[in-house]
Amino acid sequence: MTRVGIVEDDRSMRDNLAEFIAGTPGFACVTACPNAEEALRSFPHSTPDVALVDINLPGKSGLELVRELRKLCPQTQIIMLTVEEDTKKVFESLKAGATGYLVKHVPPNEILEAIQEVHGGGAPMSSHIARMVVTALREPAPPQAAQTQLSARELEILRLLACGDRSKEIADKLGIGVGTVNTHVRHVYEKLHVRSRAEAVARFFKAK
Amino acid sequence: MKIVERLCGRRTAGTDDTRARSSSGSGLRLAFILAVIPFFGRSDPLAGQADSDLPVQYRIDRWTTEQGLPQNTVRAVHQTRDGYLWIGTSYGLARYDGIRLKDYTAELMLAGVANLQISQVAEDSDGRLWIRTPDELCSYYQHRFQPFSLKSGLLKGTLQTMAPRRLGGLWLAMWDGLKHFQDGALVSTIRHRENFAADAIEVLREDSSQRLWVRPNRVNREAGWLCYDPAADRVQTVEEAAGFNPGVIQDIYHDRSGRIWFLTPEEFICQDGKTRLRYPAPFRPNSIQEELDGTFWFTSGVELVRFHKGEFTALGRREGIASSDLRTVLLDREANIWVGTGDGLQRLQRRRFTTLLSENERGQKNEVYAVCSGGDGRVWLGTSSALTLLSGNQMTAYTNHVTKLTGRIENSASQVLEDSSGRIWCGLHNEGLSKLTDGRYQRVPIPGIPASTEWSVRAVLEDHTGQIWVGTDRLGLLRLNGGEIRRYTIENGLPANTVTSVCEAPDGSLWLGTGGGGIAMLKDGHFRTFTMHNGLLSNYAWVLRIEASGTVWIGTPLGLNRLRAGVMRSVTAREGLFDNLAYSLLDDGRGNYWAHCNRGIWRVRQADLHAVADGCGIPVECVSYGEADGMRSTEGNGESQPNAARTPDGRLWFPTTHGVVVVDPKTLLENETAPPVVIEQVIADGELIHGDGAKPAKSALGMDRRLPPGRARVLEIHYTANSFVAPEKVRFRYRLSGVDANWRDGAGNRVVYYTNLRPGNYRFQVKACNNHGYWNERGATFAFSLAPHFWQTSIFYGLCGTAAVLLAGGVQGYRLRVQRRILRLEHQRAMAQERARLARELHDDLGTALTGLALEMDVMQRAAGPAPGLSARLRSSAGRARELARHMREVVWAVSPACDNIPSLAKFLEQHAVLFVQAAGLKCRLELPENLPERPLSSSVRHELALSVREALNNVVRHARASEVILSLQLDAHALTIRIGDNGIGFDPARLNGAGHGLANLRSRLEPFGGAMTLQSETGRGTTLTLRIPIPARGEGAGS
Repeated sequence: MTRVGIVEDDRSMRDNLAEFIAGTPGFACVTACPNAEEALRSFPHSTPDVALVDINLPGKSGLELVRELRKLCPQTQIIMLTVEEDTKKVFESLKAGATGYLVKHVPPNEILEAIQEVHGGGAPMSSHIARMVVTALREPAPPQAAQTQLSARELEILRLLACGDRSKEIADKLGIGVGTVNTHVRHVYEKLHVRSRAEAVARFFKAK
Repeated sequence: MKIVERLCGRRTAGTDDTRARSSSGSGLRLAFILAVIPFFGRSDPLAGQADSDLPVQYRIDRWTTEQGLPQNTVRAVHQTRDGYLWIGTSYGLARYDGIRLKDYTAELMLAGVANLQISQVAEDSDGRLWIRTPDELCSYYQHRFQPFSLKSGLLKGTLQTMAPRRLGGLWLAMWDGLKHFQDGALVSTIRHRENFAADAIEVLREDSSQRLWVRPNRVNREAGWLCYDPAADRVQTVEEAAGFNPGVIQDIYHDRSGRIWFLTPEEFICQDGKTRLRYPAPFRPNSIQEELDGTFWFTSGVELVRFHKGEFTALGRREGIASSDLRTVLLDREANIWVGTGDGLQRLQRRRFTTLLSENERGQKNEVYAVCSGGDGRVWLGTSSALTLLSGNQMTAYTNHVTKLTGRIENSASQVLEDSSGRIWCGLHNEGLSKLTDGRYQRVPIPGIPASTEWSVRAVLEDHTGQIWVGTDRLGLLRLNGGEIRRYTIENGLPANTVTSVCEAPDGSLWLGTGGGGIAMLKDGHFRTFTMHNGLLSNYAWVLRIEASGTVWIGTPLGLNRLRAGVMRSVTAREGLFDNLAYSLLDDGRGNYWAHCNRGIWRVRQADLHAVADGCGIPVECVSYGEADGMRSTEGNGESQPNAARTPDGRLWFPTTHGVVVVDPKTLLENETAPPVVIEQVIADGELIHGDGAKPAKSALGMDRRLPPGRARVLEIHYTANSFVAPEKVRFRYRLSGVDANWRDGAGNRVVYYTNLRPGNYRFQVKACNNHGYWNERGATFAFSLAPHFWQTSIFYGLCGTAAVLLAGGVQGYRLRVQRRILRLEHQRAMAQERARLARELHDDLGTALTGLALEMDVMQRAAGPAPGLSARLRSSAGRARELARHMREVVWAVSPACDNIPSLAKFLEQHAVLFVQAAGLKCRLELPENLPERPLSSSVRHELALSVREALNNVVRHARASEVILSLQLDAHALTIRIGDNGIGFDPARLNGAGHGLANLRSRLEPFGGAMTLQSETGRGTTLTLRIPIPARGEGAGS
């Protein structure tokens, strides 16, 4: 049973999404909130496994919500929901701790797949996000985040992702399992996240 | 500087003692100057003979080293034709213009004159000044001294004397002959001629027919005077030349009328043709000067002697001549007599006014407060010792009785009136009104006023009905009609109880000036007042003068007012009045008003006064008189009215703090000599370009000076006018042609500044008038030109003008371009904003709603469960809704300005390709740069590219039978290249006929943007479509 939480301000979208998920065997919609404030109140009790968070929320933004949820409910995997691929915002939320993103207009089955994948330890990453990750993590890291340099394998996987290959194809090409690919991508997400925090700390010290 | 002396002469021949005495019964002695005698009364036998002989008073001034003389022994004085007075002393030379004594001693020394003892100064017919010293003969011409040594060179020898030669040059009497010296060369030298010892001449005179009269030196004294005619080269004795033997001659003088005077130790012999006049003269005359009227002045060595109509009058120390060592006499053009003495330079100035003085025993100066003209030529004076009567040549003082009130023995009389019935009314200070009867003052009691009350009379008037009006200082106005006295005060409507002036108008109305209440008109028992509210300059009105037309002139301390037909106008010093104050306003019957104030007496034309009051704007011209004209004190008295008087003989009498001044406008001698004007110095930007010490300028046609470019930022012009009567009253007018349109009033200033003159030709003109307003209209002129800088030439201006026009055109064009561009950019921005708004609304509202709708259909489809048909339809509806949303996103992408860049295109192509190709079951490979620069790409270009790529992908999916599609994107400096490759069956491009329609379509999409499309394919080897579109390099703008 995958426990899903939804944070979405559009009511029709939220209700339909909640109903669809709830109506799907193996899934449960444990909470559906219209904004970040309510989500922060509700999530500690409902403890969803996977949260679908709209990137554009009224009041506190989706990005801030991700940052706080990472501290409040570290076990909750977060998938960003976005109307279109606003790469910068998506990338920022990934750095803040989200594990993937979905454009809202994809068929609901794909949404379910994505939830399943994330909950199962997978790490979905689109080709252009992969390109951005490569660029971001190649830049010299702040000293506190020296361990965030990409490994050769991770870089290779990202390159393949950037060229449009899927996890399965990458696993085939590299002769490794899909799970291993996912693990690598997860590590990439982690490094991204760590570096993001390190940069924040570095900025904080610099400002002092 | 000025030592003013009372002076009269001692006659050595002629009438008796110059003083006339008269006494009153009071025991007060009044001394009275002889000068008054001819002025008294028409009955006086001397009246009208003002020119008979010395009653002429002179004023004496003196200049010494303290006033700037180089040395006090003045040996030579000469007035040059430009009016300057040159003063040679035993050590040095000076020049005087009436204001400034300029010491030339240093200049002489610098020029090389070793001995500065000057014995003679003379001007030759060329205007060259010659200065003789024991060792040099020095000329001064055009601001430069040039000495000729007598120790060596051309003029080596002893110079006895010199005389200007009428036909040019100098006659020099030297030990080795009589020499004609001209233009720095000796023209001729005359040695012995018969008995004429040309090398032994002591005195040299040239007459109007160019004959030389010479006196041999002491060694050859027996030879007597000789007459040498250079034209005929003939020598005659005096007896031969004059036709008689005058005996021993000391000097010979040729007067203005061509007569010859032979001056012998015993007599002066005047030869006029055949007639000879002899005047016994116990003098040894020296330095003879002649006045226009034939009066001679000379010095006997110890006295100054005036010889007039056969009579000699000697003036010495007693008369105020400061020295008994008199060296030289000069009569200047204004009839001032200058005497060079061993004790400075002295000047005698003829007094044009007569001042009558009376002195009391204690020698106190005698103030005069009021003058009244009585019958039979009597004149009453109110003085500081009560009343004085002038009658005929008698002067009688009526001192006051010992008053009970003040205990004073004498009292000043501020007012006096002799009425038509012969009564004498007198205002004694603080003792009210008195009547003088039989030499005794009788106080007039005022009803209602205690006798002990102190008050003074301020004004008296007898009206046409014989009533006496008395203005008082505190009791208002009194009317005396027989024995009846009526008093008007503030209660009766009088504006103030101090009535300073009373005057009767032709219509019988009475006008009053008051202290503090303005003026008032009393008519039919009613007062009408005029104050500062009506335009009066001051509420203190002192003088009233009513003209026959009824126009009233009001004298206030702040200027004159004119009241005519109810309209008040004013004339003040700003409009040219000599002084705002007028104690009196006398009509001289010749169209002038005369007034006196504390600075002297002044006169103005009535017509001018009316014109300026009418607002003509031209200042009035006032002629002023002061000490130079004979006043002892310029300070007038006039606190009561009337104070000045015009006697029936036309003379005007003014009371002053030092006697009464009498002027006869008919015979007043005015200084009619217009002063010569000289431009002394011109200084351009601190450099002297004209005047003493200036470098000689190259002679330029019609120009005194040419100035190089930029040399007249500050032009300073010093000028002067040589007038010695009253130099401080000399006034100037000047103009600089090209700058001043009209003459400018320079007042008494002798310097003017001009700044920042433009290049061009200029003429500076200055003219001056003397103290009595006689203008030298010719004046002086200084012409100069200022050369232009190259940037001030007309060619340069032309070029500048052309350049300016071109520049203006260019600027305007540029402005228009910029404006158009700004308009275009604004338009684009407005478009972009519109696009952004549209995109946001479509995206946020419509997009989300469609997605929500699709999701709802998905939910419904699942809820519909196994029901056939409905589920499928709902699924397809959801699909269509999603398709709609996708289309809409593409539209949003196409229009959104936020997407107008290359990364946005790349992302869009990537997502579209991945989605589309994978949906078709093919694998999509991407070859995209990791980091694309954010270079702008217009919406139309990226839209066309997106459509092209979609069509290409569509072709691949439909025709290529490929398993894999490669989308690659490359950006170099100039272009964006997109490739869509497949691993399909390929084809032969040569055989592409009908099927080429889609490709042509692709090409036509790119062509408007300079893009190109190439197709590379081979049967069995797949196909690659290349799209290439030029991208402007960074910084070249957004294009489009």
